[in-house]
Amino acid sequence: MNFDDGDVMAFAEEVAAFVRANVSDDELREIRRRGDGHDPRVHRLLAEQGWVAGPWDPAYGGGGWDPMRTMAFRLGLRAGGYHAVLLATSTFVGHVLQVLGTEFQKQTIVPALAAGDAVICLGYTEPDAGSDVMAARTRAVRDGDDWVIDGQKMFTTGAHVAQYCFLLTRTDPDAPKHKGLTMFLVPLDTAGITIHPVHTISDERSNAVFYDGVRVADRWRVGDVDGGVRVLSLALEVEQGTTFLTELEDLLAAGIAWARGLPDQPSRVDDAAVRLALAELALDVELSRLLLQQGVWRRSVGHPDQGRGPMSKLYSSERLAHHASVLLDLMGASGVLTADEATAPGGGEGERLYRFAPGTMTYGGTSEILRSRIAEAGLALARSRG
Amino acid sequence: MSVVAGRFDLEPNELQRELLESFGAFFAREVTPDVVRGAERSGIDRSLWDHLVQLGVLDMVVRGAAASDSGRWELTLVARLVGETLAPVPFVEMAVVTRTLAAAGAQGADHGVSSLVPDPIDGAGSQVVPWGAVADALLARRGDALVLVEPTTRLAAPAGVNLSASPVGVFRWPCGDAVETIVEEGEGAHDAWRELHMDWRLGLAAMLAGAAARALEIATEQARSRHQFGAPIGSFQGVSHRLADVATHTDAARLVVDKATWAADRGAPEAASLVEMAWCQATRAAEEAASAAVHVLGGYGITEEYDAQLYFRRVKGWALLGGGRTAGLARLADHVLG
Repeated sequence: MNFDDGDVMAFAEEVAAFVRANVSDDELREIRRRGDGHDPRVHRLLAEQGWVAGPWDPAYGGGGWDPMRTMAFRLGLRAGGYHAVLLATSTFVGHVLQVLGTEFQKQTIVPALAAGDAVICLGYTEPDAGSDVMAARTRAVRDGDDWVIDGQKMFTTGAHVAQYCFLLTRTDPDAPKHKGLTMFLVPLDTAGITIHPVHTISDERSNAVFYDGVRVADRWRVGDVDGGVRVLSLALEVEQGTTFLTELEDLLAAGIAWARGLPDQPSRVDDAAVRLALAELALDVELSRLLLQQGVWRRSVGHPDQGRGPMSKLYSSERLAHHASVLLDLMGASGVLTADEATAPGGGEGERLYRFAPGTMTYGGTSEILRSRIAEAGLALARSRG
Repeated sequence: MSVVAGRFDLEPNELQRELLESFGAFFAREVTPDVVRGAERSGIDRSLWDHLVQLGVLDMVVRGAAASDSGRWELTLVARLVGETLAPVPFVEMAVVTRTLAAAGAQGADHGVSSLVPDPIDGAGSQVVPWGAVADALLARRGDALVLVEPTTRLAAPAGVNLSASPVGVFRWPCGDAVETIVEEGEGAHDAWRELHMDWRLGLAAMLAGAAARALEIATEQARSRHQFGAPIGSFQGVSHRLADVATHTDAARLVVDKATWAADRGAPEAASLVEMAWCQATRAAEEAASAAVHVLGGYGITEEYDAQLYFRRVKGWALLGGGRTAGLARLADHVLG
């Protein structure tokens, strides 16, 4: 056993340094304030480094990264202060297109993704289909060489800045629910698409997207007709490795800074409750890192997942909510202050992450879905849902 | 972030795999629940312990099974098996005390049991000492010296089967009826004492991580086989989700114990804080796992006939003998905040 991740984390450091060198603090703050999960200028800069295509096969202009290096890249981006939902989705949908896409998609879309000229958002969730993703009802009906799409998607984060949506539709409403689904890549400038902003308490903007008689050619279909489950499974498989380790690290740094005190604020380092809370938080940072490394390492060497993949996301998101709450409680009245206020304790990170945490336990798989996956794949317990 | 040309790898190396396989087979064969129950009152199975010593478990930790080997992996991999099976043997305490004595060029009890007095013995007082009721020699800290105390009569055993189901003794000092030898003094004693405590807690954490893993298995087996309302109870999320959390805690405990072992083996500066993290996580995971095992068994869980309760009592007892989890958090805070 060797826990030395120096080689792979040197790359994270390189990525973080690149972000800091090329994006000013003001710009990062503005990107965060907009909450789009994407910035075209920064995205293109990262694409020029070959990093959007990093995990892909070299035949598609990729760097052939293994899961460990991909993990280091993502951690490095966040450490540098760039929170990029659409970078991750574009990379893994690009990967799916290489495996299951048409020649047109491989020739046209994949290079545009690699160059950073196009990004892709995810259109899975609907008002009545969240965790039960295969219950999607958005209809796609064949009309000659085209498909006509009608329905509504919810929480399509980045729809207002992306060029394409990876859209899950129902093509056979009479088949069992997992057999009548088909995936499309829909250009978001197609007539009939309406995007409504959905603002969240997490400082992230998402969208409700309405599809009203949206006509797309068959070349935008991904995978077989009624074969959407296969596409979705591959997409979920390559999406692995989500974690909120970086947010826990940010919270710890803010907590330590607050405890040590500013020149005009008292030090709390001798307060036993503060000491125990920060020790618990430091412990959870390390455990989230180890659980992440375990899941990613298993994929790198080809071991079966056995329920290890979701552990870091489950653990880090729930502990983030816990520790943000505890830290604010210790701060008392000044804990209400936001980062806009210069005197906010810990730079307002506790307040920000308290609002950020609830979403982390939902998107990318709710805690309940992840627990079921661990119980089923890791402990061989019976499935608890249809 | 240090830039070292390491290659992260969770695969046990040849030595580690060999240890786990050969000793794993031994513990699985020799340390059955009947053996554990047989030692419920005495807390120690002397023939099992003699057998293990003959197999060289102490020498391995003291000298390392291979050259350029600190013996830390031997300590934690064997301790994990002790914990998994609840083997009633003083392996961890004997190993770390013998190791400290050997490093100082001293010797412990020739044939009997050596253990340690966890807290310094300045002035006067009393404390509960692991394996105290069967110990022939106790390593202790007084002032700036490390001393070996050999009581002329065995320490008093408290009444009743205690929570750890191990033969603790009550050590009272100053004690007139004991032979005392100074092992080391000054800076050397300070370092040796610190290292002794680090290795001791690391070994106990490995035991607890092993116990957690086995308790989770007991709970999982029950969740698969027990049917209620016409379905295996593991298909109910109230049961399966609790076990998913235990599985996460148990994995985390094993990982952080392994990482602390790796760091201690290399003499890395972060070893001290990692050992505290291993302690804090292993105590929590073991208690979560054993509580879940007792609960998933329903009423049977609290009956003496079922093994879950053997784990439930011992893991809390071991955590307490190591000073408890909160004390570990307080030490971890010293590393986090200085």
